[in-house]
Amino acid sequence: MKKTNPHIEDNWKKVYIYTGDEYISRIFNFSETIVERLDTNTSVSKIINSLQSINIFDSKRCVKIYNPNAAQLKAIYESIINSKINVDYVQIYCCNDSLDGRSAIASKAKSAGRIFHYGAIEYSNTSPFNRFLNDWLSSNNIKISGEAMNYLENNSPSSIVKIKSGATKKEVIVYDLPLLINELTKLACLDLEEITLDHVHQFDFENHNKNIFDFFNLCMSGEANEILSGLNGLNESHGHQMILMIYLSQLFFYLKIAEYKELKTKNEHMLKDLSLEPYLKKFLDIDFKEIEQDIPLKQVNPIRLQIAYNQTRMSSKDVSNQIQSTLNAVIDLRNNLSTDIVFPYYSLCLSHKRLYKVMTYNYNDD
Amino acid sequence: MKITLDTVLANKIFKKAKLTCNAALKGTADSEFNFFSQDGRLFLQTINDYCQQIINTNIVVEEDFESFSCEANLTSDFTNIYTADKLNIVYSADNFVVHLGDKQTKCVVLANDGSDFVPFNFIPKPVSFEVPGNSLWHALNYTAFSTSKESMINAVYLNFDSAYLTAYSFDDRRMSRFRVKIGDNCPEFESFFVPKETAEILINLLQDSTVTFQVGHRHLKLSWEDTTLILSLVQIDKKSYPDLNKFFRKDDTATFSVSKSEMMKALKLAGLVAKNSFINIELKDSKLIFTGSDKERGSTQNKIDCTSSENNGEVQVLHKDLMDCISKVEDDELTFKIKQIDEEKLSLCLMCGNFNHLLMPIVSKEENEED
Repeated sequence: MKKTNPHIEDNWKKVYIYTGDEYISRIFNFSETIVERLDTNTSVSKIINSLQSINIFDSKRCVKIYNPNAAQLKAIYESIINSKINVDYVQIYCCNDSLDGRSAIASKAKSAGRIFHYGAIEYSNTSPFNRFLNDWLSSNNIKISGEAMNYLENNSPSSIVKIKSGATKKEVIVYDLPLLINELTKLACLDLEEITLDHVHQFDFENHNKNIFDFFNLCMSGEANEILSGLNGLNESHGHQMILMIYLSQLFFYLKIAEYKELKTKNEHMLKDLSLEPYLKKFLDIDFKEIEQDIPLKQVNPIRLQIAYNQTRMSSKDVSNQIQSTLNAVIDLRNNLSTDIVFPYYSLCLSHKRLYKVMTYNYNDD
Repeated sequence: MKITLDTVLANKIFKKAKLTCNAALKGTADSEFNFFSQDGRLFLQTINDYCQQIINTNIVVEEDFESFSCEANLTSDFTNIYTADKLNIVYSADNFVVHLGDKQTKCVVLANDGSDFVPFNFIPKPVSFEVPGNSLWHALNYTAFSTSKESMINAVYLNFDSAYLTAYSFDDRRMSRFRVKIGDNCPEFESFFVPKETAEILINLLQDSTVTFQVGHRHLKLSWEDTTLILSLVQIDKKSYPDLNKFFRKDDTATFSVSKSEMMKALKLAGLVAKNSFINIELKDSKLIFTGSDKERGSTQNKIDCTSSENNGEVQVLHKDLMDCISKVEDDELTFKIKQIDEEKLSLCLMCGNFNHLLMPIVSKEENEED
């Protein structure tokens, strides 16, 4: 009868196979360990030796194996199954999904729960973010309070990465995990047992995920200083003209809403009107035939419409005024007038419901 | 500018100086001899990645002596086969050459002004002490062989404490310890990590005379007789070095003593098939059974009697590693202990006076062992 290795269970507990992003996976380090780094060029016997030889050091030993090939993976697997692993941690980096799912090590590691997939996490996708953070904290023997965790979820640094979406690439805001861990490592160096809200409040991260809708609400009903700080913040991440143009397009939407409110239009009529249903297929050419046969209806999210309807308290005249102000601010910015001049003036105009007048040339609004 | 040296002396000096040269780096200071004068004496300097050697030739030179450097290999090889009693060295600064020999036998070696010899930046600490050269040589000779690139710390650890010098080294297959009393001059709590390469150079250079240690921030200056050697130290924290003593203190499963010559014979036989592989050594009823096997060729077995033994045991060791450590021992009788190093594994430990060597249990043999 084949003898079972009594160490298998303990062996698996020491193994960490990373399959996601290499840079992010390398964040996971075990403190106070002697690290030995091996790679594709290391001989199989050297790998076996490193895994099974007796630890002569007083501290714990960690073996990191980067991009192992099939033969190396097989040797590692056989060591786990047949022998005793004498190192404390084995970190195997099969990043960017380079682990062959059909291999014995992949299937066994999966069932033992030793495959860890860490990649970029989209902002506000809190569940994988929490998992990532908890894994890192447990590897460093640190606890975190619920409040601090909640704060980090909403105030972590972010960065913009391009990810594949079908045939094209799109930009996504993701958590800047290396930067966050860099800061947390500083706290870990202080031998803290628990990270509290006071600790994480010290972090001053640049956040790309500034909510643009919060800014729009401020523009419609906020104080001048609030609008100005919002403008400056978004200017750093998005650029001033982009922000004003987005606000402009939103204002045109609000203009419609304000009009519906004033006319007390019913909900279903609003939806019809916004989807352009009453106007499409009404244009005929000289032969009295429709110019375009298949013009798709504009998709309107009824929930978003309802939210905008409830929030809009400005009259159509005020909205028109804001449209004019925003356009004039864009004109000034396009004429290379400094944001230091445009932004304060624009903020004051919005908060006091006054018209922004173009400063860069003798613009006559008569 | 002409210097005349006794050929035998020159040959001796050049051979010594060549040990700290790196002949492979042609055209650089590492492959050259640098001659310079200080206090009216001629000095010869050589340098490599690990150390800088300065030899005082004790030859009187004139005050206007112009320093120069010349290719080490050719200079040394020529001097080795040069038969005349006196060797003339004439540096021609205009032609960038050095003329060696006499009117009958000549050699012209390419030379330059020696300006590319950048000395080690030795920043001294106020610590200086003396160690008998013989003790230091033994400490290095018994330990340098058992560290290698496979080791996480490829260096010999020299620890001076309580009138004793203890040298340690290890790699993933073995570990060595050598302990020797060096007397009252021994400093307290001084320790250095000497790179394996430098340790091997020192084994070839050291003489049976007192060696003065001058401690630097990142270097060590050793001087004896006419030689000064500045060597770089491996910069690691002393605390990160493993405590090897605990392995030598492990409980013994069995002990045996054998005649060295008998054991060498048995090992040679086992080496017929297992020269680059491992051999099985079984201690049973005061007899040692050596078994070597090669799956593709065959196997050998040899029994020898122990001069004394206690208990029984069985270990596997790499043939080459065992031969390496036995060849270091000068005694006629070898005492081994079989130690329980791990819950499951046994290891063989050579206990020979001041020298202890432990062969770790075999996990997997390196394919390139022979290299």
